[in-house]
Amino acid sequence: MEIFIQQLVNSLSVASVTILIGIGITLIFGLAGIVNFAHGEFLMVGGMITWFLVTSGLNFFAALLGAMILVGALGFIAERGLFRFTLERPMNGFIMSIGMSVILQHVVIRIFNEVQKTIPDPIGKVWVIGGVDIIAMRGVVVALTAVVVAITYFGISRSRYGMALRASIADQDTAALMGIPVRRYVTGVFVYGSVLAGLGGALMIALFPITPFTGSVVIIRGFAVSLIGGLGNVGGAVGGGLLLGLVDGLSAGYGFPEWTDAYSLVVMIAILIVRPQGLFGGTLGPRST
Amino acid sequence: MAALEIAGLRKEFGGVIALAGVDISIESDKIVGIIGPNGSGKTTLFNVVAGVHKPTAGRVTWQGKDITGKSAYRIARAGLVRTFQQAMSYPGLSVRENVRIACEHGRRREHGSKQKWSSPEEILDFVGLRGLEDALAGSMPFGNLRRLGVAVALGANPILLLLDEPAAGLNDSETSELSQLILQFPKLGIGICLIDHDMYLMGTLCERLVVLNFGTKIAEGPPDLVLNDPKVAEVYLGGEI
Repeated sequence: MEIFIQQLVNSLSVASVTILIGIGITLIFGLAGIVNFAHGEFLMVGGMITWFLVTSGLNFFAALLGAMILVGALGFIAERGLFRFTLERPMNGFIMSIGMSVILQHVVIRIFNEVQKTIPDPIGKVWVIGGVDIIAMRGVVVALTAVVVAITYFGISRSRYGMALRASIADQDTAALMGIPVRRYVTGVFVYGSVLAGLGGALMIALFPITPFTGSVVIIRGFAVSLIGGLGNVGGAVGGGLLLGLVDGLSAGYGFPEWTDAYSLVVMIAILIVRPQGLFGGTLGPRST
Repeated sequence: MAALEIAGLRKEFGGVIALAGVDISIESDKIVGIIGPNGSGKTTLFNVVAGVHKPTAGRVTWQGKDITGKSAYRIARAGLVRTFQQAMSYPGLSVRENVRIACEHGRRREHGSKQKWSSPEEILDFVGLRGLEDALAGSMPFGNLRRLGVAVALGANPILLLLDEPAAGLNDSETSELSQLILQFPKLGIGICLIDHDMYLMGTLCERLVVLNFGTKIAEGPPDLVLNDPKVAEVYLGGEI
């Protein structure tokens, strides 16, 4: 039982990173209609920035904030400078983003190197809860993710900005008539998703080593999560992330760890065959033009 | 001076000339109608004025400011609000939510402004949708969706409303209710510029008619004069009446 609870917490902390990347993709793909295949590299860059700042002597949580801000700025530049011009043709944006992911990998290798990076456990404590040892940092990762999920969920579903955002996506002309600056909302969603990727990268490097190629693994899981949950559906991304995280974590703990990545993809394929709109329903993806 | 000044407005789509240099002035305390056969450029005129399309040439001035080519939301926030032929609302949101979005994002409401509504509920009351605030927009019949479209446009707090075929698809009693509603707008400080094919409706509602044909203005004036103009009759009937 104690081992099970430890596995559960481990799985949840892994799932947290997956959820953060999945929410970013579900918002950017499902709401802004942009397929950014470099989103995984945004996370990797966030991890690398965190590593650089921490090894330069900065506190981890300050470094985390720095990674969020810098990756958000990267997202702003990418959206304003590149994706803005492919909004009418999402497929062009998708191809461009593949190129961007390769460029980002090699820029990181050029600046640092290709060796994997780790940072010391930022908290370095173990909590004993009900006789079970839990690494404190993993608990913090889960808690931070829960807060971000709650803010995002209520921001999208309840706030006037979330409502305006959903209106902009559903019908741009009517939204503009109501006085909603549609393009600004698209940029806003893209930057927000990028900030979450920065946070995901910072939390990831607090748990595992990161290499310049981490992004390509993460992006597949992120798309799996957002498709399982239904595009544009924040709650769905959380459900999908938990599902994948638990399948991964528990299968690694109890079964065949070498198959970990395969499980999640099998789950995704199975769900997309049975329910193409995702488990929880979502938008139909980028507007077709 | 007129609130909206359109000067030499031209719009080409590829090789097609939709507007071939149009000059129109519209006041914000009157009901002005724009008529013309299909393809004469009426809807394009609205789209270019409201910022949905950028003009090829010409100038649009709103309350003394050049708004040519400005983005649609800025023009809406400046109080120049266009409606669409299709129902303008979000089917998955309630009637109240649809109007509330427009209230939250449209032109800022100043104190002492002439209009009497401050909440989505009051607007819905005015357009005759009281009691349906919580209904899903997508569940409403067509006539009510049109009213909701007007309510959404009012939510954006317009000074001048551009109504694109508000009566299309409505039956006679719905059309006459709608025209009663439209007649009240000038008293509330909202000017109306509307497009419609219903000549009886246009003749009774409008103080002034502008006739477009092939992207040019061919006549302008009070309805009884314009509708009896031989040039206008020729455009519509291909000859004399």
